Amino acid sequence: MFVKVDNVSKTFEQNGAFFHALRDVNLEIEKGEFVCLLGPSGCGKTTLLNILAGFEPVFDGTVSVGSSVTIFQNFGLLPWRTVRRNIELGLETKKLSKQEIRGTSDEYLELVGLKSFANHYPHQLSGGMRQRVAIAGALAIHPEIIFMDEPLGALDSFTRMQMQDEILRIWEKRKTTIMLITHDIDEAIYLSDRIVIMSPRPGKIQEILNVSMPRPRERNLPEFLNMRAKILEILHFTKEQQPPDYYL
Amino acid sequence: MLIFKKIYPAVIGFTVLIAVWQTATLLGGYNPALFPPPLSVVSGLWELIREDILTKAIVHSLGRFFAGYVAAAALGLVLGLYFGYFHNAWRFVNPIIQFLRPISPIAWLPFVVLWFGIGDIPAVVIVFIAAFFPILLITVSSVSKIDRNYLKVAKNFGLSPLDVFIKIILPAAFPHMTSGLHIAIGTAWVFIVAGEMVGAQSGLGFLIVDARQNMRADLLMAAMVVIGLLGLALDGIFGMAEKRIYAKWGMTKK
Ligand SMILES: Nc1ncnc2c1ncn2[C@@H]1O[C@H](COP(=O)(O)OP(=O)(O)O)[C@@H](O)[C@H]1O
Ligand SMILES: [Mg+2]
Repeated sequence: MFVKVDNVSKTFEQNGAFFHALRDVNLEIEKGEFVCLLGPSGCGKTTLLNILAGFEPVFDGTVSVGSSVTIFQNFGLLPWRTVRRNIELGLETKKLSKQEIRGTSDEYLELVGLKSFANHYPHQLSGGMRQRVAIAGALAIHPEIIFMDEPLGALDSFTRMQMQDEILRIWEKRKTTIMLITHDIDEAIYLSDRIVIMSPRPGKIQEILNVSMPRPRERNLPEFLNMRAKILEILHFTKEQQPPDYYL
Repeated sequence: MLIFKKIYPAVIGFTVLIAVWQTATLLGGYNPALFPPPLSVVSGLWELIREDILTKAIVHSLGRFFAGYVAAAALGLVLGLYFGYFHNAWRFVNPIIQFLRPISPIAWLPFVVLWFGIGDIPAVVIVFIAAFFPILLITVSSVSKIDRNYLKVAKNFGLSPLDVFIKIILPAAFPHMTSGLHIAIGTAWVFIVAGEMVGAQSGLGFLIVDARQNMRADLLMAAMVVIGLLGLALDGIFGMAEKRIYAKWGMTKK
């Protein structure tokens, strides 16, 4: 098993009272899998990711994770570094020569289509381009798994759909394991092999769904729509006898 | 045209000031030895320039100023980075700094003279004291206020502690640090005069003392004008550098 989460619980203190941000979470992820964590705000998605990625050392239970890199919602770029130097940040920690670092960053600039923006600064880029820089920087150091915390949340819906295809393309090409957090149901269905649905208070895994549709997936095929209806039902977002007329 | 748009309020402001000043001296009938009109200040300025006094005074003052300022910047930045990084140590040092800071640099003058004698040193030390505290305090706060997300990025990529310092903390704190240096330059310039009034034989502060002793109000005022203009220039130059740094860092300076 590539990622193994065993009975993980996490409590936080808020206003003097303790509450479970996560309770008894169990999860396994296979090598090369694309898994989405889906759930409403505050159900503990980020908390779980922080535990898996090692940003949150205090919790109950056990986790085992290979080498990982996280892509943050705010892209996690350093504003004083150019696009190229941002991609090279992780590479600089490896024992590589200058030319090797240059060569690798060239390769990943190419992969995400930002070759001509190598010497731009993050603030000169659009949101989608910044996200691609973050992805390139994460891929460049060949992590076994990439965690993404609502990576497309800040993008407009068109850029967002483009970036979903971009992420899929890179994932298929590189066969990296990806765990992506989202609160967008369509995004989860469009991307994942499996959808882990979480619910709040206490944060726990409600259900895990397999998505077996072949890629590229069509967003308005019956199968897609059925899946969406099913998820809405699981999340108690359907009204009795009524078709779902809104989604998250 | 663009530069004109930027400076025309300043030009108008100064013109009005000088006009009011001139009118006041004309209508008020004050003794020009007590309150000199603008024109006699200009001629006093011209006298200082002609006799090559002014350039020398400026060079001397700037020399002392930068000696004190650069020393304060070097020590303030190094200590500020250290205490910003090791915040627990800062908790012990901060109260002492807060206690020393409100003591005017001028209060140190008698001791400075006793310890270092007169001449160039008092001015350098006064400028040092005046510049040191703001630089230290702003550097500490700029390091301790670094966006936590940058440290998360560092952890994400497994940077070593030394790399975290060089590649994350230093550049992340850098723009704010330059703001500290900017503020300190104005603060410290104010004190160059006081420093040069005790026993210096040259410089703008000496010019003030000298003019007073010779009862030359026009020269006194002329020296003050020069001090003000130099302060304005120092601030302007630093402000421009700061703007560039902020722009390169993708930040805007309000
Ligand atoms: N450091 C913290 N201290 C206290 N409460 C926290 C902390 N981090 C998260 N929480 C709380 O834990 C719950 C889950 O948060 P989070 O994992 O960020 O949710 P999600 O990412 O699913 O929106 C929320 O109620 C949040 O307020
Ligand atoms: Mg979150």
